[in-house]
Amino acid sequence: MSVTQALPDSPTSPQVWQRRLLLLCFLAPGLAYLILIRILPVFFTIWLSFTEWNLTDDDGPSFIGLDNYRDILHDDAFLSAAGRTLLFTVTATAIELVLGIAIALFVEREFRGRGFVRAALLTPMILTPAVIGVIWLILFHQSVGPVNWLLSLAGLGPVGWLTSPAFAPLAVLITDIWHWTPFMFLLAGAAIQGIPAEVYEAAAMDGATRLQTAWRITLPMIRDTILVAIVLRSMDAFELFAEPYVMTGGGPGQATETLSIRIYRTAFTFFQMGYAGAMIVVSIVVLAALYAGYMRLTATGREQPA
Amino acid sequence: MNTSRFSQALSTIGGVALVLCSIFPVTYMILTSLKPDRLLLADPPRFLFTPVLDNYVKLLIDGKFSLYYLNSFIVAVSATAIGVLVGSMMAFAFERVPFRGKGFAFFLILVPRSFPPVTTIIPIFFVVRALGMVDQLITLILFEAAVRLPLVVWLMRGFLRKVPDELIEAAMLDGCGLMRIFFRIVLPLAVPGIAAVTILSFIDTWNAFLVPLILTNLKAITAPVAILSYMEADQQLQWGIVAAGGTLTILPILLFAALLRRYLVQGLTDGAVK
Repeated sequence: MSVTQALPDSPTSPQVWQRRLLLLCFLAPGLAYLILIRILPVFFTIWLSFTEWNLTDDDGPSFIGLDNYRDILHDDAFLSAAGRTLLFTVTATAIELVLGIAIALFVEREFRGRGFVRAALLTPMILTPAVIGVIWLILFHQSVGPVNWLLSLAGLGPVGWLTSPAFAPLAVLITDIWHWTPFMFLLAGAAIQGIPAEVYEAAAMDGATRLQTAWRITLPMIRDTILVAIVLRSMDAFELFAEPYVMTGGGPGQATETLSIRIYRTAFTFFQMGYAGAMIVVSIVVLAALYAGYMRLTATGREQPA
Repeated sequence: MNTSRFSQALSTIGGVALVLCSIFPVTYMILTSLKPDRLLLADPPRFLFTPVLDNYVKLLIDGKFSLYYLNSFIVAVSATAIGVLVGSMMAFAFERVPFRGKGFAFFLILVPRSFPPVTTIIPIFFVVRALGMVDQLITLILFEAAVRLPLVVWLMRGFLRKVPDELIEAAMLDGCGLMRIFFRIVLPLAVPGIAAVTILSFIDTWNAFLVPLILTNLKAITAPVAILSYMEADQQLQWGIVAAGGTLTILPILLFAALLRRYLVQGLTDGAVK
C-alpha cells in the first residue's frame, strides 16, 4: 500500500493540526461506526457460540463450553445443509464462470447493437434477489409454468421443479446461473477489453485461429481476473438465501435448505441463539480454510490478487 | 465469403437467443402482473392478451404496499447518503494523511466486506431488541449504511487518488479549511466516482432481504420482504398480485440502471476487481 504524502512535511503547527483534525473528523467516526456495528458483533457471536440461550426462556445465556460444537458434529440437518451449500457453491461458480467467459468472448467483438446486448445481458445481476425468486417460482410452476410448457413441446415432462426433491436443487441452481452469470461476463469482459490490440494483431499475423487465440492468449491474460472472480462469486454463492427461501422455503423436505436458511431458522424460528452462533463460527472457519487453500494453490509465483 | 456470411448468421442467432434467455424471465413476470384473473392459470401459458391493471389495483388498494414501498425508498436513500458521505470522508483521510496504524485501520474497514450479514445479525438483533428499536426504519438505515461502508471506502479511494495534490495544497495555502476543501474542491472533482458508488449502494440496499426480514415485522417492512407476505396469504390466485409487487420492486432499479448505465458498469467492475 503506497502512502501518499500529500501534505507538506514541515512540522509547522497548522499543518500538523490539520492532519490530526482530518484523522479525527474524517476517519474516526466512520471507523468507530464500523467497529461498533460490524466488528464487535462478530466477537459477540463467537462468545455466544459457547453458551446456551433459548430466547423463549427468560434466563440469559448460560456458558456451556464446547457443547454446541459437539452437537453440531452430530447434527445431520446442519451437516447436510453444509454439504449441500458447498456442492452448490462449487457447481454454480464453475458453470457461471465457463458461461460468463464464453459469452464475454462472444460479445466483446464489434457488432451492431452491442451496447444494447451488453445491457440486456447484465440486467439479471442487479435485480432484487427476492423478486428473482418470484420470477422463477412462476416460470417453474408444475402445471402452468412456461418451463414445463416448453418441455411439453419437446414431448417431455411435466417436471415437478419445485416439488420434487430431485429437481428442486436443480431449479435453484438454474435460477442462480441466470442471476449471476452476468457477473462473470462483466468481469471477464472488462479484463478482455484490457488486452492490447497489438497482441491480437500479432497472433493473427502468425495465422492463429480464433479458437487458438482465445485459448492461448485471451484466457492466460485474464487469469488474475478469473481467480478473483471465483473468490467473489463463491463467497456470495455460499450465502445464498433469498431465492430458495422464496421459491421453496428450503424444501421440499430439506432439499434446498442452504446453510444461511438453516442458520436463520435456528436463530429466528427455533430461537436457539447460542447454537446458531456456533453454526456461524463453523461455517466461517470452513470457508476461511478453503480460501486459504485456494490462495496457496493459485498464488504460486505471482503476487496475490487484489 | 459464404462461410463468413454463414458464421455471421450463426452469431446473430446466438446473440438473439442469449438476449432472450436473459430478458424473457423478467418479461414473463411483468406479463403475469398484467394478466386478467382468468388467464393466470391458463394452460398453455398465454403471451398475448389485453393487459389489465387489476392486479395493481388489488395490490395497492389497501395502501399497505405503497407504505412498504415508501419504506424501501427511505431506507435505500438514507443508508446510501450516510454510507457515501461517511465513506468518502474516510477515503479522503486515508488518501491524504500518512499515519501510524494505517494498514491496520484499512484492514478493519475491509474485513467486514467479506463477512456475510448473517455473522453480525444475531448480536445486532439483541441490541436492537434491548433498545426497543425493532421494526423501525432508523434501525435498518443505520445497519445497511454500515454494510455499504467498506465498498464505498474501497471505491472512493481509487477515485480520490485522481484528484491532483497541487489543487489541495494551493487551497490550503489560501487558508481554506478542511471541510471547505473536501466539500468544495474534492467532492466536485470526484463526481463520476460518487455517481458510481451511489447507484451501487442504492441498488444493494434496495435489494437487501435477510436483514429487513429479521429486523422488521409490521411497520418498517421493505418491498422485497412485503412480497413474501402476499405469497403466503393464499395460493395460486395471488400470483398476479405477487407479480405486480415484484414488477414495482424492480422498476426503480431498472430505471436507475437505464439512466446511469455508464456509471453502474464502471462501479460494478471496479467494485469487484480494483
